[in-house]
Amino acid sequence: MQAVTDMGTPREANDIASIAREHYDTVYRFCARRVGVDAAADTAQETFLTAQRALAKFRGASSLSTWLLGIAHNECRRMARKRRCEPPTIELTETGSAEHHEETIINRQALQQALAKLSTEHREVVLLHEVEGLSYEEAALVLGVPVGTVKSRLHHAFANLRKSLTEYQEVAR
Amino acid sequence: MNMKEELKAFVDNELSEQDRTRILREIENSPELQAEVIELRQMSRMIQEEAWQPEPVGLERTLGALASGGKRTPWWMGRPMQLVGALGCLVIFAAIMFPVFAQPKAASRKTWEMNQSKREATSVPGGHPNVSSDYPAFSAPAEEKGKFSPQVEAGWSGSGFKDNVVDAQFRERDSNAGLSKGANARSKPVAGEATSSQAPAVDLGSLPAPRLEIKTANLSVEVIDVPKAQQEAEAITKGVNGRVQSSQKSDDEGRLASAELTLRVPVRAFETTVNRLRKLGRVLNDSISGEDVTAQVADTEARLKVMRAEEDQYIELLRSTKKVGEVLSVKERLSQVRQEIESLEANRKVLRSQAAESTIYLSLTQKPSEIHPRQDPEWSEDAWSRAVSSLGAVGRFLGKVVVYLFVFSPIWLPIVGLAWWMNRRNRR
Repeated sequence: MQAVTDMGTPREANDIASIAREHYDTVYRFCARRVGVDAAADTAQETFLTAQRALAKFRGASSLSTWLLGIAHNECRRMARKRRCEPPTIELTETGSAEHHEETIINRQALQQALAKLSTEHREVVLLHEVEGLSYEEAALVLGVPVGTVKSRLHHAFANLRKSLTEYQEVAR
Repeated sequence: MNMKEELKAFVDNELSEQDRTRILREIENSPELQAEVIELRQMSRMIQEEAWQPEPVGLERTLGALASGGKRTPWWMGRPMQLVGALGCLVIFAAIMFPVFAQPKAASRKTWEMNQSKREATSVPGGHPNVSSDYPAFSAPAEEKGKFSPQVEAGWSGSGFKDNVVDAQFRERDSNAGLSKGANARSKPVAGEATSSQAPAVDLGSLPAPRLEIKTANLSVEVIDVPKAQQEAEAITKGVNGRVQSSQKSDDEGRLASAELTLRVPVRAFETTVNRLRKLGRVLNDSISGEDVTAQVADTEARLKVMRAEEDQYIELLRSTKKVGEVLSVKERLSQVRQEIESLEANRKVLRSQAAESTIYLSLTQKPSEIHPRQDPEWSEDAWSRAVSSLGAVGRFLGKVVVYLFVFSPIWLPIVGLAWWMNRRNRR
């Protein structure tokens, strides 16, 4: 990260391009899950333009991807307000292997319904940790909350998921 | 935080080594916790593996925006339908607004053309020499016609309505030519000699070299001070031995001052005078016209010669005639010929006079922004009435805009609606 913080203006332009190439997919997916596909490209572009302006202030306190997702998080909130987007959802698709499906005791449809029932805050931490693959600390940096809050929100989120799944199984019987 | 609350952190490997060992020990002793850990892991794995992964698009656009120094992609590049809608609205707005702004301009043009036509009508005192019924025109020989026609055409080119005037003059000339040919034919048996009809052609060959041209200028000049400009114009005219034929001044209260002058200047000083008058202010309208009357003067003079020869012959005949009846008949014819000679001489005099002095119609108008503020003690009332008047004008204008918008709503409303709908759709 020292290379990023120490670079001058000419290198900065080249580096922001290489940063964009490296992290665009992550940022785009992050945005698409929060503001939808239609606004995702615009939001991702805004994220990198903001990052370009703020790159000189980046001191490497977090990883670059976390820093970018933090910017993207703010851009998504702004875009969601502007375009009145629906809250983020976690959609599951059938991509897992057949063996894995046989092993699991969890019904995908039930999990999808359970995820939809989560509050926005719980859904956000599930997205960041499970889907985006951020650690608790990274998720806390992106959301701007303490790590303990992330830990607690994740615990309650999964507790609610388990509760919803149990109810689903009882109804299915 | 109780032990159950830390299970998720344990599954995610987010606990310290000490807490992890403690939780692991608890799990080993509790089948319920083991089942919960399995369930948490399966849920977590399913979410991780089966979460929707959107296909990224727009990297190149973002790189382009970054390369252009952080300039954001213009909204219209991403939304062509909104661009079309905005352009459509703009066109409709322009179409609605255009007639409102075009009206004063068209009215001004119309007024100017009316003044122009009025001037042209009054510029021929007692009728144009060429179309005058008092002075029957004489036909020019074909070769002479050929000489002046292109010149006149060239002199008039460049103005549509002037061309029409020339065409009309040509038609009149041609028709007069036909009539005068008839008159000429009638005069032949009376003259009794074939030489009389040949005379004009012979004489025209020895026409004076300088051409006779009636020049007219129409000038409309916007000046700062009308009375001063009028004095200057009169001084310029007198400076070239010209004269002010007529002048009219209007300086009504609350209106712009203006003056109309008809100036007559010697032909040789025409160009100089016009150029100096142009410098009085900003020229609003400027047109110069010229009519070559060389042929007309030559026609008149030729006919005069024929008539005088005829007069001489009648006088000779009168001397030799003895019978009373014949004497009376010859005298009557002689009287007619002398009247015609008088008419032709008057015609020639008018033509030469017009050709010797050019006419300049000068219109002076005051520049609106340069109206000198009057030292009016009632300035506050004046300002109040002006403000109220302006408010009324603005109100009328806005009313017109509303009416236009309402009338044109079947055109712009669907476009605006479509743009709004597209905007909403893009937001979603």
